[in-house]
Amino acid sequence: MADSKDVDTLSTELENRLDDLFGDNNPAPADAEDNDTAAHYPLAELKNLILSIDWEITDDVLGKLLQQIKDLKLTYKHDKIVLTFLQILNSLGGYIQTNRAKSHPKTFKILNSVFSSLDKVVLSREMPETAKKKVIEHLNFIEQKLKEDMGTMQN
Amino acid sequence: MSYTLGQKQLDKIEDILKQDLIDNGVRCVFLIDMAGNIIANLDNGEKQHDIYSLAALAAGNFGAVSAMAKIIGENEFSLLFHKGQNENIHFNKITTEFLLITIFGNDISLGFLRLKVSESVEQLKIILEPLVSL
Amino acid sequence: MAFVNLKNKEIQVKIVYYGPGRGGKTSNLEYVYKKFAKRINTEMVTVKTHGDRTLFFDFLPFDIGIINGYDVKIQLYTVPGQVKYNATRRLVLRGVDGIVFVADSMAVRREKNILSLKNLQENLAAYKKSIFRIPFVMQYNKMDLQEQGIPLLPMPTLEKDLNSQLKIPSFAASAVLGTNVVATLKRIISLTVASIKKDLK
Repeated sequence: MADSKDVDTLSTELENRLDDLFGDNNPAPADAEDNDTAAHYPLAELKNLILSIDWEITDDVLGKLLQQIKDLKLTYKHDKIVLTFLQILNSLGGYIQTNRAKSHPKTFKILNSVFSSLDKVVLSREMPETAKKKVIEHLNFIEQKLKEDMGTMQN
Repeated sequence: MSYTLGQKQLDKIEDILKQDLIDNGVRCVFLIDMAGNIIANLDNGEKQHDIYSLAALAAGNFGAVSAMAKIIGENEFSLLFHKGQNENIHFNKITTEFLLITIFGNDISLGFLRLKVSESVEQLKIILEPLVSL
Repeated sequence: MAFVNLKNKEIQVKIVYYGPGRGGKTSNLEYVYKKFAKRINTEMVTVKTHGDRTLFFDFLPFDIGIINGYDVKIQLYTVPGQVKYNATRRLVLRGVDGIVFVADSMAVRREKNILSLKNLQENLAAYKKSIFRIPFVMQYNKMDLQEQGIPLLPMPTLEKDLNSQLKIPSFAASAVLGTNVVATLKRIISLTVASIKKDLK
């Protein structure tokens, strides 16, 4: 039989724990594996928008996408890698907005895979310098190629 | 009771389906009426399906889903799409009497396909709408 | 509604087998499928329950060849007979061009036949079609049970119950044995095609 004092302690502890989990600043309960996910995931909205485009392409979604990219560019203005990714996503978004049904079919696959790579970069906090350099090189190459391809696609 | 489509109309229909859809990577497209009759069908030459059975089942499926929509208080659903591992199938109504069914692989995004289908539907409506008033 | 394709010179026609549950609609199609297997290149589509009752429909496309320069393609459908599947029956009837009513000749099924026919009339009316004006053939099925001593309704009773107002061609049949299955089919096809030809003139 539990002592009333024990019960009180338990209640307090329980309440404290619940506060920790569902407090104002933590929108989601902490994952057992990754405590960092309790912090707001910065690409959440961008991810939603990219996934929406997979299902339906509307002016509304495209507008929100481009706005979200703009906002993220400010957040990451000192992060060269992320900025480059966002630049590419911006170009792709703009291209789809302009061309709609006349867009090249591959555009959407590219959009998804660019986002996927950005996602990985943001989630992996620690990236060795050499890897970072490689990514930047690779991204610059992609950006150049896309500029060329989209130039011809528009015909 | 019956309805007829002539050579010119059917040629135009096939052109629209080819240019808008097949040429953009869609594997197979067929235009049917709600009774399950096949008006036109095109594929990219890779795989041949039993389109008669597909047409009957597609009309039945669409009819069943429409009936369900009405029961739950919806006029109709804006998306009827089945996702497979390798092949997907999308349904789109054209006027009250016709259905456009597209079968496509994972290399085309659904969002993009829906854009293309909308375009095709606008053009096909012009040919098919006069028949509906019969 | 039949579709005439002037480009391919093709006519597509929809014939539905209707009637009470377990009356023999599916058996009719199964017999046709077996008998004309060489002519029919495709599989028969059946959407069934685990208990082997038709759930959605059976479907059999049947190309009867060229008539008057047109390739006539018949789509045969059955409906699920159980009372609870009325919404489905109505769906399958959409665009129907000709109907075969498969009545169950067993004495115990008398009421069910009458109700099913009434149900058909209502469902057709929902599509603004009249049971009196659509190409229609009556089939009194399960005649083979007579030999097994199972009480069947006498022909005059069946005719009075089901055909006194319609006055359409009727056939005593056994779908399981194949008796008059083809005769029924031939008759409905010719009535349906004749009706479409009239339409086209």
